[in-house]
Amino acid sequence: MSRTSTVMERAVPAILAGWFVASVLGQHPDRSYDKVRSGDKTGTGILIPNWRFFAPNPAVEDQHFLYRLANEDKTEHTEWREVYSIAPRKLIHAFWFPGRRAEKAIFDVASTLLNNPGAMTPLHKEAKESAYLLVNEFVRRRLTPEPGFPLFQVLLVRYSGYDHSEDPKYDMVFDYEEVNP
Amino acid sequence: MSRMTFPKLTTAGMAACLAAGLAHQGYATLATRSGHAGFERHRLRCDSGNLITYHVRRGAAGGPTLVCDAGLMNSSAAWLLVADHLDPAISVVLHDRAGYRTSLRRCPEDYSLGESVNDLVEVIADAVPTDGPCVLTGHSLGGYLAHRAAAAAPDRVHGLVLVDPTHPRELLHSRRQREGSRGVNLTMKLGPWSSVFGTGLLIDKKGLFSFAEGSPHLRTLRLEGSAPSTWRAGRREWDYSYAFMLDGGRPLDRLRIPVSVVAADSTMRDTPEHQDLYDEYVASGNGGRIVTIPGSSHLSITGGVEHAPLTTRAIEDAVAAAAAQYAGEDRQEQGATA
Repeated sequence: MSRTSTVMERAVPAILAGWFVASVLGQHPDRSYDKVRSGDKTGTGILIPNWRFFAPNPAVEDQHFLYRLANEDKTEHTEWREVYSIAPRKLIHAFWFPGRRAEKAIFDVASTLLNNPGAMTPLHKEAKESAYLLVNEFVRRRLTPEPGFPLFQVLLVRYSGYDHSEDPKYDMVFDYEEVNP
Repeated sequence: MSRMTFPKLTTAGMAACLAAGLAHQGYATLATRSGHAGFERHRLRCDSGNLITYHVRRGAAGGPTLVCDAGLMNSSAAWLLVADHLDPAISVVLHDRAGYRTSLRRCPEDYSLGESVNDLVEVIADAVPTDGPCVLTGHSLGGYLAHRAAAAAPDRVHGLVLVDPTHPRELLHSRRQREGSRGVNLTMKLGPWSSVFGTGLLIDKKGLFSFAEGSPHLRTLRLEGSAPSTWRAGRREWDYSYAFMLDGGRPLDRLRIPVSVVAADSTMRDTPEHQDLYDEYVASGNGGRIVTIPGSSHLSITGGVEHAPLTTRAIEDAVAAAAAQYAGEDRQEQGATA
Protein backbone atom coordinates (compact mmCIF):
# COMPACT_ATOMS: atom_id res chain seq x y z
CA MET A 1 0.00 0.00 0.00
CA SER A 2 1.39 3.41 -0.87
CA ARG A 3 2.19 6.02 1.74
CA THR A 4 -0.52 8.35 0.35
CA SER A 5 -3.26 5.77 0.67
CA THR A 6 -2.18 4.97 4.25
CA VAL A 7 -2.39 8.63 5.19
CA MET A 8 -5.79 8.93 3.50
CA GLU A 9 -7.03 5.82 5.25
CA ARG A 10 -6.23 7.38 8.62
CA ALA A 11 -7.03 11.01 7.90
CA VAL A 12 -10.48 10.55 6.32
CA PRO A 13 -12.11 8.70 9.26
CA ALA A 14 -10.46 11.14 11.69
CA ILE A 15 -11.78 14.19 9.82
CA LEU A 16 -15.26 12.70 9.46
CA ALA A 17 -15.33 11.68 13.13
CA GLY A 18 -14.26 15.18 14.16
CA TRP A 19 -16.95 16.67 11.96
CA PHE A 20 -19.57 14.32 13.41
CA VAL A 21 -18.58 15.14 17.00
CA ALA A 22 -18.69 18.88 16.22
CA SER A 23 -22.16 18.41 14.70
CA VAL A 24 -23.42 16.54 17.77
CA LEU A 25 -22.06 19.29 20.04
CA GLY A 26 -23.80 21.90 17.91
CA GLN A 27 -27.29 20.48 18.45
CA HIS A 28 -28.19 22.23 21.72
CA PRO A 29 -31.61 23.86 21.24
CA ASP A 30 -30.51 27.03 23.04
CA ARG A 31 -28.45 29.33 20.84
CA SER A 32 -26.32 30.44 23.78
CA TYR A 33 -24.52 27.09 23.37
CA ASP A 34 -23.43 27.75 19.78
CA LYS A 35 -19.72 28.10 20.53
CA VAL A 36 -18.84 25.09 18.37
CA ARG A 37 -21.03 26.30 15.52
CA SER A 38 -19.27 29.65 15.61
CA GLY A 39 -16.23 27.71 14.34
CA ASP A 40 -18.02 27.42 10.99
CA LYS A 41 -16.44 30.39 9.26
CA THR A 42 -18.63 30.15 6.15
CA GLY A 43 -21.17 32.23 8.07
CA THR A 44 -23.98 30.03 6.75
CA GLY A 45 -23.98 27.32 9.41
CA ILE A 46 -23.86 24.77 6.60
CA LEU A 47 -20.75 22.96 7.86
CA ILE A 48 -22.12 22.41 11.37
CA PRO A 49 -25.90 22.42 10.91
CA ASN A 50 -28.52 22.31 13.66
CA TRP A 51 -31.75 20.31 13.61
CA ARG A 52 -33.67 23.50 14.41
CA PHE A 53 -33.44 24.09 10.68
CA PHE A 54 -35.94 21.28 10.06
CA ALA A 55 -38.27 21.16 13.06
CA PRO A 56 -37.25 23.40 15.89
CA ASN A 57 -40.20 22.66 18.14
CA PRO A 58 -42.48 19.81 17.08
CA ALA A 59 -46.04 20.58 18.18
CA VAL A 60 -46.95 18.46 21.19
CA GLU A 61 -49.33 20.86 22.88
CA ASP A 62 -52.50 22.79 22.10
CA GLN A 63 -52.60 26.56 22.23
CA HIS A 64 -55.39 28.01 24.37
CA PHE A 65 -56.50 31.59 24.66
CA LEU A 66 -57.90 32.51 28.06
CA TYR A 67 -59.39 35.87 28.93
CA ARG A 68 -60.34 37.80 32.00
CA LEU A 69 -62.46 40.92 32.39
CA ALA A 70 -61.19 43.96 34.24
CA ASN A 71 -62.76 47.10 35.70
CA GLU A 72 -61.88 50.58 34.45
CA ASP A 73 -58.76 51.08 36.62
CA LYS A 74 -57.62 47.44 36.20
CA THR A 75 -57.64 46.75 39.92
CA GLU A 76 -60.39 44.10 39.82
CA HIS A 77 -60.49 41.11 37.53
CA THR A 78 -62.68 38.10 36.91
CA GLU A 79 -61.14 34.62 36.88
CA TRP A 80 -59.39 33.46 33.69
CA ARG A 81 -61.95 31.89 31.33
CA GLU A 82 -61.57 29.68 28.31
CA VAL A 83 -62.45 31.23 24.96
CA TYR A 84 -63.10 27.88 23.30
CA SER A 85 -62.48 24.21 24.04
CA ILE A 86 -60.20 21.94 22.04
CA ALA A 87 -62.36 19.12 20.66
CA PRO A 88 -61.36 15.65 21.95
CA ARG A 89 -60.06 13.63 19.02
CA LYS A 90 -62.08 10.76 17.51
CA LEU A 91 -61.27 8.26 14.78
CA ILE A 92 -63.60 10.00 12.33
CA HIS A 93 -61.45 13.14 12.65
CA ALA A 94 -58.79 11.38 10.61
CA PHE A 95 -61.17 11.65 7.63
CA TRP A 96 -63.49 14.57 8.33
CA PHE A 97 -62.84 17.33 10.85
CA PRO A 98 -63.95 20.77 9.67
CA GLY A 99 -63.79 22.08 13.28
CA ARG A 100 -60.01 21.68 13.09
CA ARG A 101 -59.85 24.81 10.93
CA ALA A 102 -60.36 27.14 13.88
CA GLU A 103 -57.82 25.26 15.99
CA LYS A 104 -55.26 25.32 13.18
CA ALA A 105 -55.82 29.03 12.64
CA ILE A 106 -55.28 29.68 16.34
CA PHE A 107 -52.15 27.56 16.35
CA ASP A 108 -50.74 29.47 13.37
CA VAL A 109 -51.53 32.87 14.86
CA ALA A 110 -50.02 31.83 18.18
CA SER A 111 -46.90 30.64 16.34
CA THR A 112 -46.58 34.04 14.67
CA LEU A 113 -46.63 35.65 18.11
CA LEU A 114 -44.31 33.19 19.80
CA ASN A 115 -41.66 32.53 17.17
CA ASN A 116 -38.68 34.82 16.70
CA PRO A 117 -39.41 36.92 19.80
CA GLY A 118 -36.35 39.03 19.11
CA ALA A 119 -37.16 39.70 15.44
CA MET A 120 -38.08 43.34 15.13
CA THR A 121 -37.96 43.95 11.38
CA PRO A 122 -40.86 46.03 9.99
CA LEU A 123 -42.26 42.83 8.45
CA HIS A 124 -42.20 40.94 11.74
CA LYS A 125 -43.70 43.89 13.57
CA GLU A 126 -46.51 44.14 11.03
CA ALA A 127 -47.20 40.39 11.28
CA LYS A 128 -47.31 40.52 15.05
CA GLU A 129 -49.54 43.61 15.19
CA SER A 130 -51.99 41.89 12.83
CA ALA A 131 -51.89 38.75 14.97
CA TYR A 132 -52.62 40.73 18.14
CA LEU A 133 -55.58 42.45 16.44
CA LEU A 134 -56.89 39.14 15.13
CA VAL A 135 -56.70 37.38 18.50
CA ASN A 136 -58.25 40.28 20.38
CA GLU A 137 -61.13 40.41 17.89
CA PHE A 138 -61.54 36.62 18.08
CA VAL A 139 -61.84 36.81 21.87
CA ARG A 140 -64.00 39.93 21.85
CA ARG A 141 -66.63 38.14 19.75
CA ARG A 142 -66.75 35.14 22.07
CA LEU A 143 -66.41 36.59 25.57
CA THR A 144 -69.33 36.90 27.98
CA PRO A 145 -69.47 40.54 29.09
CA GLU A 146 -70.29 41.57 32.64
CA PRO A 147 -71.45 44.96 33.93
CA GLY A 148 -68.69 46.97 35.59
CA PHE A 149 -65.96 45.24 33.59
CA PRO A 150 -65.37 47.29 30.41
CA LEU A 151 -61.92 45.80 29.68
CA PHE A 152 -60.56 42.37 28.88
CA GLN A 153 -57.16 40.81 28.69
CA VAL A 154 -56.00 37.71 26.85
CA LEU A 155 -53.56 35.07 28.09
CA LEU A 156 -51.93 32.56 25.75
CA VAL A 157 -51.43 29.17 27.37
CA ARG A 158 -49.96 25.88 26.15
CA TYR A 159 -51.46 22.71 27.48
CA SER A 160 -51.01 19.12 26.34
CA GLY A 161 -54.70 18.30 26.82
CA TYR A 162 -54.02 14.60 27.46
CA ASP A 163 -51.62 14.63 30.39
CA HIS A 164 -53.47 16.29 33.26
CA SER A 165 -50.55 15.93 35.65
CA GLU A 166 -48.69 18.54 33.64
CA ASP A 167 -49.18 22.19 34.51
CA PRO A 168 -50.21 24.61 31.75
CA LYS A 169 -47.43 26.85 30.47
CA TYR A 170 -48.14 30.56 30.41
CA ASP A 171 -46.71 32.06 27.25
CA MET A 172 -47.98 35.56 26.84
CA VAL A 173 -50.28 38.13 28.41
CA PHE A 174 -51.79 40.69 26.03
CA ASP A 175 -52.43 44.35 26.69
CA TYR A 176 -55.87 45.35 27.99
CA GLU A 177 -58.57 45.91 25.35
CA GLU A 178 -62.04 47.39 25.49
CA VAL A 179 -64.95 44.95 25.43
CA ASN A 180 -66.98 47.45 23.35
CA PRO A 181 -64.56 49.66 21.41
CA MET B 1 -1.84 -1.38 16.44
CA SER B 2 -5.56 -1.74 15.99
CA ARG B 3 -7.08 0.20 13.12
CA MET B 4 -8.83 3.46 14.09
CA THR B 5 -12.26 3.21 12.52
CA PHE B 6 -14.89 5.92 12.34
CA PRO B 7 -17.04 4.50 15.21
CA LYS B 8 -14.00 4.16 17.44
CA LEU B 9 -12.80 7.68 16.68
CA THR B 10 -16.29 9.12 17.20
CA THR B 11 -16.72 7.35 20.53
CA ALA B 12 -13.28 8.49 21.65
CA GLY B 13 -14.05 12.06 20.56
CA MET B 14 -17.38 12.16 22.37
CA ALA B 15 -15.83 10.66 25.51
CA ALA B 16 -13.02 13.22 25.41
CA CYS B 17 -15.54 16.08 25.03
CA LEU B 18 -17.63 14.76 27.93
CA ALA B 19 -14.53 14.40 30.10
CA ALA B 20 -13.41 17.94 29.25
CA GLY B 21 -16.90 19.28 29.98
CA LEU B 22 -17.12 17.51 33.33
CA ALA B 23 -13.63 18.62 34.30
CA HIS B 24 -14.55 22.20 33.43
CA GLN B 25 -17.80 21.90 35.38
CA GLY B 26 -15.93 20.54 38.42
CA TYR B 27 -13.35 23.30 38.22
CA ALA B 28 -16.08 25.95 37.91
CA THR B 29 -17.89 24.51 40.93
CA LEU B 30 -14.67 24.55 42.99
CA ALA B 31 -13.93 28.11 41.90
CA THR B 32 -17.30 29.30 43.21
CA ARG B 33 -16.40 27.92 46.66
CA SER B 34 -13.70 30.52 47.24
CA GLY B 35 -14.29 33.82 49.03
CA HIS B 36 -13.67 37.30 47.65
CA ALA B 37 -10.32 39.02 48.18
CA GLY B 38 -10.57 41.79 50.79
CA PHE B 39 -13.85 40.45 52.23
CA GLU B 40 -14.52 38.41 55.36
CA ARG B 41 -16.81 35.47 54.77
CA HIS B 42 -19.68 34.80 57.20
CA ARG B 43 -22.23 32.01 57.41
CA LEU B 44 -25.77 32.40 58.74
CA ARG B 45 -28.46 29.79 59.28
CA CYS B 46 -31.74 31.53 58.54
CA ASP B 47 -35.19 30.71 59.91
CA SER B 48 -36.04 29.28 56.49
CA GLY B 49 -33.38 26.60 57.09
CA ASN B 50 -31.12 28.07 54.40
CA LEU B 51 -27.40 28.41 55.09
CA ILE B 52 -26.57 31.83 53.71
CA THR B 53 -23.07 33.13 53.03
CA TYR B 54 -22.34 36.84 53.02
CA HIS B 55 -19.11 38.73 52.49
CA VAL B 56 -18.19 41.84 54.51
CA ARG B 57 -15.65 44.59 53.90
CA ARG B 58 -15.51 46.89 56.90
CA GLY B 59 -15.44 50.65 56.35
CA ALA B 60 -15.32 53.47 58.88
CA ALA B 61 -16.77 52.65 62.31
CA GLY B 62 -20.23 54.17 62.71
CA GLY B 63 -20.32 54.90 58.98
CA PRO B 64 -22.89 53.74 56.45
CA THR B 65 -23.22 50.11 55.35
CA LEU B 66 -24.24 49.13 51.84
CA VAL B 67 -25.92 45.72 51.47
CA CYS B 68 -25.93 44.39 47.89
CA ASP B 69 -28.21 41.77 46.36
CA ALA B 70 -27.51 40.45 42.85
CA GLY B 71 -29.88 39.62 40.04
CA LEU B 72 -31.08 36.28 38.71
CA MET B 73 -28.21 33.91 37.78
CA ASN B 74 -25.79 36.28 39.51
CA SER B 75 -24.09 36.11 42.87
CA SER B 76 -22.09 38.40 45.11
CA ALA B 77 -19.39 38.36 42.40
CA ALA B 78 -21.61 40.59 40.23
CA TRP B 79 -21.09 43.42 42.74
CA LEU B 80 -17.30 43.13 43.06
CA LEU B 81 -16.50 45.74 40.43
CA VAL B 82 -18.85 48.27 42.03
CA ALA B 83 -17.31 47.45 45.43
CA ASP B 84 -13.83 48.09 43.97
CA HIS B 85 -14.85 51.66 43.09
CA LEU B 86 -16.80 52.33 46.26
CA ASP B 87 -15.53 54.76 48.91
CA PRO B 88 -13.61 52.55 51.42
CA ALA B 89 -15.32 54.40 54.29
CA ILE B 90 -18.57 52.65 53.33
CA SER B 91 -18.88 49.13 54.73
CA VAL B 92 -20.03 46.63 52.11
CA VAL B 93 -22.04 43.45 52.58
CA LEU B 94 -22.33 41.19 49.52
CA HIS B 95 -25.02 38.60 49.89
CA ASP B 96 -25.39 35.26 48.09
CA ARG B 97 -28.97 34.06 47.94
CA ALA B 98 -29.69 30.41 48.70
CA GLY B 99 -28.22 28.13 46.05
CA TYR B 100 -25.60 30.56 44.73
CA ARG B 101 -21.90 29.97 45.42
CA THR B 102 -21.59 28.53 48.95
CA SER B 103 -25.08 29.53 50.14
CA LEU B 104 -27.06 26.34 50.55
CA ARG B 105 -30.81 25.99 50.15
CA ARG B 106 -32.17 23.87 52.96
CA CYS B 107 -35.73 25.23 53.12
CA PRO B 108 -38.14 22.27 53.09
CA GLU B 109 -40.88 24.21 51.30
CA ASP B 110 -41.29 25.13 47.65
CA TYR B 111 -39.42 28.28 46.68
CA SER B 112 -41.06 31.69 46.86
CA LEU B 113 -39.61 35.18 46.60
CA GLY B 114 -40.69 35.71 50.22
CA GLU B 115 -38.07 33.14 51.25
CA SER B 116 -35.26 35.19 49.68
CA VAL B 117 -36.67 38.39 51.18
CA ASN B 118 -36.74 36.91 54.69
CA ASP B 119 -33.20 35.55 54.31
CA LEU B 120 -31.99 39.00 53.22
CA VAL B 121 -33.67 40.64 56.23
CA GLU B 122 -31.87 38.18 58.51
CA VAL B 123 -28.54 38.91 56.81
CA ILE B 124 -29.09 42.64 57.42
CA ALA B 125 -29.86 41.96 61.09
CA ASP B 126 -26.73 39.83 61.43
CA ALA B 127 -24.25 41.80 59.34
CA VAL B 128 -25.11 45.48 59.69
CA PRO B 129 -24.03 47.38 62.82
CA THR B 130 -26.87 49.26 64.50
CA ASP B 131 -24.83 52.42 65.06
CA GLY B 132 -24.85 53.58 61.44
CA PRO B 133 -27.20 53.90 58.49
CA CYS B 134 -27.88 50.94 56.24
CA VAL B 135 -28.55 51.35 52.54
CA LEU B 136 -29.83 48.42 50.52
CA THR B 137 -29.09 48.02 46.84
CA GLY B 138 -30.17 45.36 44.39
CA HIS B 139 -29.66 44.71 40.72
CA SER B 140 -32.43 43.31 38.49
CA LEU B 141 -34.42 40.70 40.48
CA GLY B 142 -32.27 41.63 43.48
CA GLY B 143 -33.70 45.15 43.19
CA TYR B 144 -37.24 43.93 43.66
CA LEU B 145 -36.18 41.68 46.54
CA ALA B 146 -34.34 44.61 48.15
CA HIS B 147 -37.51 46.73 47.90
CA ARG B 148 -39.51 44.06 49.70
CA ALA B 149 -36.77 43.55 52.29
CA ALA B 150 -36.77 47.30 53.00
CA ALA B 151 -40.52 47.08 53.65
CA ALA B 152 -40.01 44.07 55.90
CA ALA B 153 -37.28 45.78 57.96
CA PRO B 154 -38.32 49.45 58.13
CA ASP B 155 -36.26 50.19 61.24
CA ARG B 156 -33.02 48.76 59.84
CA VAL B 157 -32.96 50.10 56.28
CA HIS B 158 -32.44 53.84 55.76
CA GLY B 159 -32.13 54.06 51.99
CA LEU B 160 -32.72 51.99 48.88
CA VAL B 161 -30.94 52.07 45.51
CA LEU B 162 -32.44 49.88 42.78
CA VAL B 163 -30.10 49.21 39.87
CA ASP B 164 -32.09 48.49 36.70
CA PRO B 165 -34.57 46.59 38.86
CA THR B 166 -37.17 44.02 37.92
CA HIS B 167 -40.67 45.33 38.46
CA PRO B 168 -43.45 42.84 39.28
CA ARG B 169 -45.66 44.29 36.54
CA GLU B 170 -43.05 44.57 33.81
CA LEU B 171 -44.29 41.60 31.78
CA LEU B 172 -47.83 42.99 31.77
CA HIS B 173 -46.65 46.51 31.12
CA SER B 174 -44.23 45.84 28.28
CA ARG B 175 -44.91 43.59 25.32
CA ARG B 176 -41.25 43.63 24.39
CA GLN B 177 -40.30 42.44 27.85
CA ARG B 178 -42.84 39.63 27.60
CA GLU B 179 -41.48 38.53 24.24
CA GLY B 180 -37.89 38.67 25.48
CA SER B 181 -38.78 36.68 28.58
CA ARG B 182 -39.75 33.68 26.45
CA GLY B 183 -36.16 33.32 25.23
CA VAL B 184 -34.98 33.49 28.84
CA ASN B 185 -37.57 30.85 29.71
CA LEU B 186 -36.04 28.40 27.20
CA THR B 187 -32.53 29.09 28.47
CA MET B 188 -33.60 28.59 32.07
CA LYS B 189 -35.43 25.35 31.28
CA LEU B 190 -32.47 23.74 29.57
CA GLY B 191 -29.61 25.31 31.52
CA PRO B 192 -29.58 23.24 34.73
CA TRP B 193 -29.51 19.86 32.96
CA SER B 194 -27.08 21.04 30.33
CA SER B 195 -24.66 22.28 32.96
CA VAL B 196 -24.63 18.89 34.68
CA PHE B 197 -23.09 17.40 31.53
CA GLY B 198 -20.46 20.09 31.37
CA THR B 199 -21.97 22.06 28.51
CA GLY B 200 -20.68 25.23 30.12
CA LEU B 201 -17.77 24.82 27.72
CA LEU B 202 -20.18 25.15 24.78
CA ILE B 203 -21.59 28.49 25.91
CA ASP B 204 -20.39 31.37 23.80
CA LYS B 205 -19.06 33.20 26.84
CA LYS B 206 -17.02 35.65 24.86
CA GLY B 207 -20.24 37.13 23.55
CA LEU B 208 -22.26 36.55 26.70
CA PHE B 209 -19.76 38.30 28.97
CA SER B 210 -18.54 40.90 26.49
CA PHE B 211 -20.10 43.51 28.80
CA ALA B 212 -17.39 42.68 31.39
CA GLU B 213 -14.42 42.78 29.00
CA GLY B 214 -11.41 44.16 30.87
CA SER B 215 -12.94 43.58 34.30
CA PRO B 216 -10.66 41.91 36.86
CA HIS B 217 -13.65 39.77 37.84
CA LEU B 218 -14.49 38.51 34.35
CA ARG B 219 -13.07 35.04 35.00
CA THR B 220 -15.13 34.64 38.18
CA LEU B 221 -18.29 35.62 36.33
CA ARG B 222 -17.54 33.23 33.46
CA LEU B 223 -16.89 30.28 35.76
CA GLU B 224 -20.12 30.90 37.67
CA GLY B 225 -21.96 30.47 34.38
CA SER B 226 -20.65 26.90 34.16
CA ALA B 227 -21.53 25.85 37.71
CA PRO B 228 -24.68 23.69 37.92
CA SER B 229 -25.55 25.25 41.30
CA THR B 230 -25.88 28.68 39.65
CA TRP B 231 -28.26 27.23 37.04
CA ARG B 232 -30.34 25.34 39.60
CA ALA B 233 -30.73 28.43 41.78
CA GLY B 234 -31.49 30.58 38.75
CA ARG B 235 -34.07 28.12 37.44
CA ARG B 236 -35.81 27.95 40.85
CA GLU B 237 -36.05 31.72 41.06
CA TRP B 238 -37.02 32.11 37.42
CA ASP B 239 -39.86 29.55 37.58
CA TYR B 240 -41.45 31.36 40.48
CA SER B 241 -40.85 34.91 39.37
CA TYR B 242 -41.92 34.27 35.74
CA ALA B 243 -45.35 33.01 36.80
CA PHE B 244 -45.51 35.74 39.45
CA MET B 245 -44.83 38.47 36.91
CA LEU B 246 -47.10 37.01 34.23
CA ASP B 247 -49.85 37.19 36.81
CA GLY B 248 -49.10 40.85 37.52
CA GLY B 249 -47.15 40.36 40.74
CA ARG B 250 -48.40 42.45 43.62
CA PRO B 251 -48.51 46.19 44.39
CA LEU B 252 -45.29 47.80 45.61
CA ASP B 253 -44.98 48.36 49.35
CA ARG B 254 -44.98 51.93 50.62
CA LEU B 255 -41.66 52.91 52.20
CA ARG B 256 -40.65 55.79 54.45
CA ILE B 257 -37.11 55.98 53.07
CA PRO B 258 -35.63 57.47 49.86
CA VAL B 259 -35.88 55.08 46.91
CA SER B 260 -33.53 55.81 43.99
CA VAL B 261 -33.33 53.99 40.67
CA VAL B 262 -30.14 53.68 38.62
CA ALA B 263 -31.36 52.77 35.14
CA ALA B 264 -29.51 51.19 32.23
CA ASP B 265 -29.49 53.29 29.09
CA SER B 266 -30.53 50.29 26.96
CA THR B 267 -33.57 49.63 29.15
CA MET B 268 -34.79 53.21 28.87
CA ARG B 269 -34.08 53.32 25.13
CA ASP B 270 -35.47 49.91 24.09
CA THR B 271 -38.42 49.77 26.47
CA PRO B 272 -39.37 53.40 27.17
CA GLU B 273 -42.48 52.16 29.01
CA HIS B 274 -40.08 51.18 31.83
CA GLN B 275 -40.00 54.85 32.81
CA ASP B 276 -43.50 54.44 34.34
CA LEU B 277 -42.35 51.47 36.39
CA TYR B 278 -39.23 53.24 37.63
CA ASP B 279 -41.32 56.32 38.46
CA GLU B 280 -43.55 54.04 40.51
CA TYR B 281 -40.52 52.71 42.38
CA VAL B 282 -39.33 56.23 43.22
CA ALA B 283 -42.87 57.26 44.23
CA SER B 284 -43.08 54.27 46.58
CA GLY B 285 -40.48 55.93 48.79
CA ASN B 286 -39.87 59.23 50.44
CA GLY B 287 -37.64 61.12 47.99
CA GLY B 288 -35.08 59.63 45.63
CA ARG B 289 -34.63 60.00 41.88
CA ILE B 290 -33.86 58.18 38.66
CA VAL B 291 -30.31 58.30 37.28
CA THR B 292 -29.60 56.83 33.84
CA ILE B 293 -26.06 55.56 33.15
CA PRO B 294 -25.23 56.63 29.56
CA GLY B 295 -24.39 53.80 27.18
CA SER B 296 -24.97 51.07 29.76
CA SER B 297 -26.84 47.79 29.34
CA HIS B 298 -28.69 45.73 31.93
CA LEU B 299 -25.51 43.78 32.78
CA SER B 300 -22.78 46.33 32.09
CA ILE B 301 -24.35 48.71 34.60
CA THR B 302 -22.71 46.71 37.41
CA GLY B 303 -20.15 44.61 35.53
CA GLY B 304 -18.81 46.90 32.79
CA VAL B 305 -15.51 48.68 33.39
CA GLU B 306 -16.90 51.84 31.80
CA HIS B 307 -20.25 51.90 33.55
CA ALA B 308 -19.61 50.41 37.02
CA PRO B 309 -17.78 53.58 38.23
CA LEU B 310 -20.76 55.72 37.19
CA THR B 311 -23.17 53.36 38.92
CA THR B 312 -20.97 53.47 42.01
CA ARG B 313 -21.09 57.26 42.02
CA ALA B 314 -24.90 57.20 41.84
CA ILE B 315 -25.01 54.70 44.70
CA GLU B 316 -22.58 56.80 46.77
CA ASP B 317 -24.82 59.85 46.27
CA ALA B 318 -27.80 57.87 47.53
CA VAL B 319 -25.79 56.54 50.48
CA ALA B 320 -24.68 60.09 51.36
CA ALA B 321 -28.29 61.33 51.23
CA ALA B 322 -29.49 58.45 53.41
CA ALA B 323 -26.60 59.01 55.85
CA ALA B 324 -27.42 62.72 56.11
CA GLN B 325 -31.08 61.93 56.76
CA TYR B 326 -30.07 59.30 59.34
CA ALA B 327 -27.76 61.78 61.10
CA GLY B 328 -30.58 64.35 61.19
CA GLU B 329 -32.99 61.82 62.69
CA ASP B 330 -30.32 60.73 65.18
CA ARG B 331 -29.78 64.34 66.33
CA GLN B 332 -33.54 64.81 66.69
CA GLU B 333 -33.78 61.65 68.80
CA GLN B 334 -30.88 62.75 71.02
CA GLY B 335 -32.48 66.21 71.39
CA ALA B 336 -35.78 64.64 72.38
CA THR B 337 -34.01 62.40 74.92
CA ALA B 338 -32.11 65.36 76.39
